[in-house]
Amino acid sequence: MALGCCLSRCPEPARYISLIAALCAWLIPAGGFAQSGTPFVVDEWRFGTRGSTATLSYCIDARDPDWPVARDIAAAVAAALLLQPKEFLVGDDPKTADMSGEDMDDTYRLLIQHCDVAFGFKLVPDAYPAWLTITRPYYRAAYVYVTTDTGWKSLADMPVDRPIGATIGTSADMRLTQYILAVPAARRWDKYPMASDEAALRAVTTGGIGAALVWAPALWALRRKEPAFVSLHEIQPTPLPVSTADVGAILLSKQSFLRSNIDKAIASLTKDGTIAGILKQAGFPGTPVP
Amino acid sequence: MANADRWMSRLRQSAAMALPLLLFAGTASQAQPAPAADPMKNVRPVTDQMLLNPDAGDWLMWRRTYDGFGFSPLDQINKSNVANLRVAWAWSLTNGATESTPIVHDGILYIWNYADKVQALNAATGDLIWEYRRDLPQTIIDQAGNNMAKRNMAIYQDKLLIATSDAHLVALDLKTGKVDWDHETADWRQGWRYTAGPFIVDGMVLQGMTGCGNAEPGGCFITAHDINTGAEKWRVWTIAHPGDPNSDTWNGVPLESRFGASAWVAGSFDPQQNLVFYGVGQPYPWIAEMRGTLPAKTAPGISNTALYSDSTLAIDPATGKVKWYHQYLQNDTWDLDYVYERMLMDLPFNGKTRKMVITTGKLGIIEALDRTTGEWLWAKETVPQNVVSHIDPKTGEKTINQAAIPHIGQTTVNCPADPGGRGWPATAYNPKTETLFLPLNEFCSNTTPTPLDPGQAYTGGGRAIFSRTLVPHSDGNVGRIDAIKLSDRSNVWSFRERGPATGGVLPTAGGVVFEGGWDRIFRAFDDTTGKVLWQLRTNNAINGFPVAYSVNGREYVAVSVGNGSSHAKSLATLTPELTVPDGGSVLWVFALPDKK
Repeated sequence: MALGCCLSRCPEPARYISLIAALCAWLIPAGGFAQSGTPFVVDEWRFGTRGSTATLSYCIDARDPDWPVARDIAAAVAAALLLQPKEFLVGDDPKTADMSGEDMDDTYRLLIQHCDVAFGFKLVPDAYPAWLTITRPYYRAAYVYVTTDTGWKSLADMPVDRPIGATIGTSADMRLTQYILAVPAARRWDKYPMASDEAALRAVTTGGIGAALVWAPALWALRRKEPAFVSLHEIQPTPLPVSTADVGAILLSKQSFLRSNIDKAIASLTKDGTIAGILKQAGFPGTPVP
Repeated sequence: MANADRWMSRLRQSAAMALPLLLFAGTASQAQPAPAADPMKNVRPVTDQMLLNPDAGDWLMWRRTYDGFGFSPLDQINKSNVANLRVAWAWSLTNGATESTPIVHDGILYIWNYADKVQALNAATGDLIWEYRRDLPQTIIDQAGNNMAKRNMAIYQDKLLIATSDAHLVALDLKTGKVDWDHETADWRQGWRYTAGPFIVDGMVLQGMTGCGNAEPGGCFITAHDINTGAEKWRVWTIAHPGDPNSDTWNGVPLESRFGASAWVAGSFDPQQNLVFYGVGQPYPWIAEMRGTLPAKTAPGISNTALYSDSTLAIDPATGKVKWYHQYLQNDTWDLDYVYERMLMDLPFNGKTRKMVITTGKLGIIEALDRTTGEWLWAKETVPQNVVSHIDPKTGEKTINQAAIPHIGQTTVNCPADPGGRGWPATAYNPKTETLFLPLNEFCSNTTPTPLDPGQAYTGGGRAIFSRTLVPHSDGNVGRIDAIKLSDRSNVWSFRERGPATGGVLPTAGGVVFEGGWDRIFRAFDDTTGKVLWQLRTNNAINGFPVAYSVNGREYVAVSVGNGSSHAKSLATLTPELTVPDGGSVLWVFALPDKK
């Protein structure tokens, strides 16, 4: 726990002041009234400041495929900050697993109601509203193409009359779309928008598409619950480059002090190998981001 | 639902406790106003004939009449006296997006509150008669947002029909609020939801579904239900399915990858033809390159128009068969719905009287079809727009401005922006003057397709950043009310204002037009000149549909206000200096001073 070690090496008064300052940062209205530009929340006055003690309240979204890993990393961050971890698990009811919103308003409610920081968000440029800020990434993962045809080593081996099913709206989906738009019609694969990674994997197993473009952590998670996905064969994205995304955590923009400390904690946990250890232990297809 | 029962039980308990106290109070109680006679005593079951030809004092459906006019024949409040309008009573509603249209029948006003609370009020006094509260799943309540608002309800026989936020249709007893039946149409956990309410035709309950962007194949649908049980009688898919002659209009994309085409506004009905008209919204995701309908395929027999998005469907209510359709905007890639109210009127065109169905989409283009055949007749533009560069005057086919098409990796400009030059706040038509009144807004969007929070199931239309701006060379005014004489399509007047127009409009036989917006001002215009005859600043954004009704010969105008509608909030980003309170949803009711 690098940052924790740092704090523990600090002179006692300085350490004390650091901790108090950190606590004050998120005692200041995490659940305050709506600022200009924040989403509208009915009766927002119901969500007051959290009476924080020495805790780090964080949200983990069980709908995210990486949530067991995010949970371990969040706990490690709390420990690095010498704070008690307080987890709020979102969407753990599988019946609501598909109920993600079409905007970030749900996240705002989450942050004023339940947690100081929410883990499991991809660092997409310009994708987040001004009232949100995102930490430095704690891992990087790739989008992968998978198929049932073991004879294909790369996407280039797949005939153009076989469609690609891509989970809608990912950066890899958009890169694939741009590639398809750039090549002559005769060299284009058809691309089918898929509602989810699971839908894309199901379509490739049933033969509806030639290859599925999915988020590697989702493939990792879905293989653990669906035997049919285990035998799927990953192929290189050639002629496209590998698409990756960095994953971090989000906070309200006004939580700049807390964000700074979490960034330091992630940096320390990356440097001392803690995050690499968590990823390795889970067999997770991600790498720490130096 | 047991809520109404519980409420009645509590009422009875309260009454039981109160009775001895009242007896003990003796003469002191006589100083209080005498209790009103049971207002429910005279409430009659609503018949087909009433829906076809409603009493002037009633408001029995979303746009009052089957032709969708939203016009009141009442004239007690008129140009000469509207300046004397006063608050008759007001009633606090549940805080949240408030897009409601009251139903008024035989002196009872029924109102939808945010988060699925329905109340029956004495329409003359504002006294509560009964209340129904639905036990919504906590997940829906936690998500809050716009989805717990409903734009309309329906009334028939002894029932008030509602569409709930957990995708059920429910029939409530008109007189007690008790649940008669409760039918689950779709699984809310998959993203299905209702934001509009039911529509009664030929003794059936018709209902359009929205929230069709999730993993359910095939998009949205319109269903018909038995009035006595709620059982589904037919279903019309709003996305062409395999077997449908228009199935090959999705650029080769299979059914499980077709999303959207929500039917999120109630319909209209032509009893002469026995045809129902419903609008259909845009395909999802909004950006065509993301949903696979661009680039266009060249294979024979394949097109990318994405039927039946942005269309009018003419449906036989007996069978659910689509008699004809017309698509206004092919392969919509801007979120520019053509889903709104369909008005049915007979007007001259090229020397002949034609039976028309008229609607105005988000582009702000008024378009008329022959409602017997679907033949396109004419179009008239209103707000500044740059998406359509030309409309074929014979076929209505639109030429799209290629520069306005969003592309991945680019930022493009489209006017209007996605909330629309007109949004769901309804237009209305005065048949006496043949004038259409439109609540409009002028603005544009810098549109950038962007990956957003990927990794979870797809549920919405977004996947782009819409940076909304004023139109080029704007004078700063966003909101606008236009009056257009439809018989010759001439502009009668236009009222422009800084505040976005966020409420429906209400023309009456008294020659006034009521309208309200984000600036909280509820106004009455002279319907021939556009002169403001009266205005009152309410407590919150006017975001509902005003109605007029009468009780015991006294005319009232009612409108609900409240913050939270996503449409209004989007428009409000253009006028940051106009702030409205977070809470305070209210039903305002106005009348002329009582002379008694």
